[in-house]
Amino acid sequence: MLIDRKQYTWVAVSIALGAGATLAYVADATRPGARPGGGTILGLTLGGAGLAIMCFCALLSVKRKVPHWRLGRAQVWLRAHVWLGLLLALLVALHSGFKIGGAMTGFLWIMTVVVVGSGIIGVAIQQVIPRLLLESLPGETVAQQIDHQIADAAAQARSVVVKYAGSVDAPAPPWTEAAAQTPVPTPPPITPAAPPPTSATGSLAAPKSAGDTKLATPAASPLPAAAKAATPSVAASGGKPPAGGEPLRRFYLDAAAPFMLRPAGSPLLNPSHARSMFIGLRRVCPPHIHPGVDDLEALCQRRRHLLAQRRWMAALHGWLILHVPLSYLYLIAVFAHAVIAVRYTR
Amino acid sequence: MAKATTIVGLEGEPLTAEDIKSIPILADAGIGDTAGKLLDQFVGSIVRRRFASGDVICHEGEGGNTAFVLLEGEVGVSIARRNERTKRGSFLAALGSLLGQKPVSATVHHDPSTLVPIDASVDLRYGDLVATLGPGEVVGEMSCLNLAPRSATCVAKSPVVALEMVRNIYEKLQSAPTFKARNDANYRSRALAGHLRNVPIFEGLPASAIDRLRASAELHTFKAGTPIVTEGDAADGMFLIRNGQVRVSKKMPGGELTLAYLTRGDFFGEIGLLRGTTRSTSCTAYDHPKDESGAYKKGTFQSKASSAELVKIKSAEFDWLVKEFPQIKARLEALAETRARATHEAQTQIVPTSYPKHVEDLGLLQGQGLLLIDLEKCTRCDQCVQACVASHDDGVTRLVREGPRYDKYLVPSRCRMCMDPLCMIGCPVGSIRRAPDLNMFIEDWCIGCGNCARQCPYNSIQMHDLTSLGMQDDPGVERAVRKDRAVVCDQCSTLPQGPACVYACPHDAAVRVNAREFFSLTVSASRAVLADSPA
Repeated sequence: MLIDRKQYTWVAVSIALGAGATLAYVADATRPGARPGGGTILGLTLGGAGLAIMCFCALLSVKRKVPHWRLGRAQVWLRAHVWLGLLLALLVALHSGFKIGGAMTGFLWIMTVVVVGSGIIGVAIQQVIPRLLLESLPGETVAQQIDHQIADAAAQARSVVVKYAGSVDAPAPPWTEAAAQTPVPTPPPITPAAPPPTSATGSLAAPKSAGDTKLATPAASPLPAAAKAATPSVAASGGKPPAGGEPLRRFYLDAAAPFMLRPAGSPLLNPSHARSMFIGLRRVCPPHIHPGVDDLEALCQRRRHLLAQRRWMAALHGWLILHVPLSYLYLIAVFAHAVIAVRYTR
Repeated sequence: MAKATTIVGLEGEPLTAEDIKSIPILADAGIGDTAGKLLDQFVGSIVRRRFASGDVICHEGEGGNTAFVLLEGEVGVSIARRNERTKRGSFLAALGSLLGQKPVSATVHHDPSTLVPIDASVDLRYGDLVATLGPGEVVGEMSCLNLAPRSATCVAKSPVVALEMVRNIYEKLQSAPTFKARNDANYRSRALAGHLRNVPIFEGLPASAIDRLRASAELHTFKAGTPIVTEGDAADGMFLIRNGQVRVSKKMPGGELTLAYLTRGDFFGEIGLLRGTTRSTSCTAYDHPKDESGAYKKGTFQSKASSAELVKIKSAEFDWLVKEFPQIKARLEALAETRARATHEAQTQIVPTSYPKHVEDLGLLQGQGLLLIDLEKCTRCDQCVQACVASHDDGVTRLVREGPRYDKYLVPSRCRMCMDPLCMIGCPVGSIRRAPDLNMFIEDWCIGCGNCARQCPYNSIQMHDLTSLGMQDDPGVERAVRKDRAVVCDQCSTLPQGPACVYACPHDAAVRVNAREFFSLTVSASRAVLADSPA
């Protein structure tokens, strides 16, 4: 939920309720001989209000199970959940008279901090990560498609290399022996002036401008059009791959294929380093192989994006793993506290 | 003479040129010589088939490329109607049902008298999806000409002899005047009265009036691309579409604006008659989009250029109807008002403003109900998709959260309610329709041919396996099972709170907009409009 002007109503409601509760507490606590706490009329009232807010907040997850029921717009529910949830912390503090109390109330204090805190963290995350996803990942896909897209990118990378360098499994065919003498490129020093790689189509390459980002389509990446261009590819050369593809093949086997399979620890994981490696690869490949290098670079970038998306998605939703179960545990504990307090106190 | 080659291999007894001359229906059609030459080249392209009582001639939903001309016996023709899902799973869903929170049904229930078009010379009634065909009648014409799946199941009710033929033979037969006259006579005697009764404005007409219209109506065929009525011409009759598609358009500065595509069962031309004015729009027998060279555009429905078959009610009969039946005049006036308003609205939507080129490139301006997802707000919680699933009783999402982006907005694959709904072109049974509120919906007699899904430029119609939808046929009725069914966003039109995806978005990220209004503002202004909109 993005904090914007639409939140003002609920912010105002929460502030008003919080101010009212605080004033009442101050008035009650400053009475001669007053002992503010949960056992007073005001304390019980504040505790009851807090419990009601907890129950309401918990109902959000029930509402999500029946999204088409006419129970009010989901965004209103979420706004109320967030701002009343914040108010809850204040009500708990006023209810307890700012005292930790015994083991049970101490536990409830900890739970209050953890649940409200995790919620605040969640809202904070939601201010940042959606924007990051929007700006950095024009090829973002739905989360359930990430594994499929990874497999698709790996298969496309293999196809590109087969097209430009022959089989990636068999030893290098004789016509590429000369090229095989060429050393595998090592990353040149990174220079700020290094030009960004460009794809023949731009469809898979990094967006070259903000305009590209705006128009990017996050559909499953087709094989870049460069692979179909009039280059002396396998098909165009009568079944033989074009000469000079051996550096590309070795680069694929040594660096790109492992990266596609398991990116952790790969030098291609770092965009700057990867760019340098591909610049080096272009230097040792003849020009007619460059479209294949471009395509492979774009696919490696796509793999990086998918990895980044997975991580960001985990961060975007991961806090809920803590927040939701603990909220229910908190609610149960609060009910137990209320029953014990009402049943056995006094 | 060309060497004979068996390329077809239909099951049954292959006919020779001599056989054709001995079969009256073919001989009368005068196609013996031409068909005979074809048979010399394509042996087995027409066969005589015999079916015992109870044999299934063709199954609804199956692929097919042949037509059957019945020579002897009677054939029962029927279609399955899907019921709603019988199981909805969760306790909450059951509770919601009890509380009146029923999901949108994928099945639109009709009046039992509503006609369901099928691939035969009769239509079926929604309340009784069974009919009987006899000698001289044809089944499977659409499958033969357009490779559409069989729209009905045909079962022999008595020993049946039929001719099964492939397209080149059937086209010859179809072009023979005597065969066409026989088909027209069959239509006039068996189906026309039903079609007339099915026209909403004629509802409640006494049988005598229907008979009078049936006897006096003219049957016309217009080749694709031919104007049927032209804007500005004098109105001399109203038309009911028997087969094919008709495009309704209006002249505008810079070109013609398409107002609607009409299909089987629709009607037009009544406004000019009622008001005594000239035609307010042009109506053309519709052909599929072609490029400059005249070839069909890649990706569009590939079929033979079809013709539109129409029933014309002449102005004299129309005047008689209006005079004799005041209730019909009242309905017509209401309809004329509605259509005039819709035309005016369509015209006024052509805002003389320029849009960002990307907006035009992405086809966003087509959207009269475009769903946009603000990716700055969206937390990818998938509530929109889950709401879509939960709000439809077939459990299928109409929303796929992928698509092109414009600025910070994702345009997901979901029906845009296009101004020019190409999906409606080519439906062989007229099952994809547009409601008066512009929502698209698919009738439950969809045969799963997939034409609409292929025609939609924005991938907003999906084909789903019926069995996975948990749909069931009418209990106790033996039917074939259709394999696929088209699913399109219905904008949750029966939910009072509007589209479930927008209603259920907790982050205020999903919005539904009219693209022309939304994008006529600058993007920043649009943002401001959204920000100021009520919660």
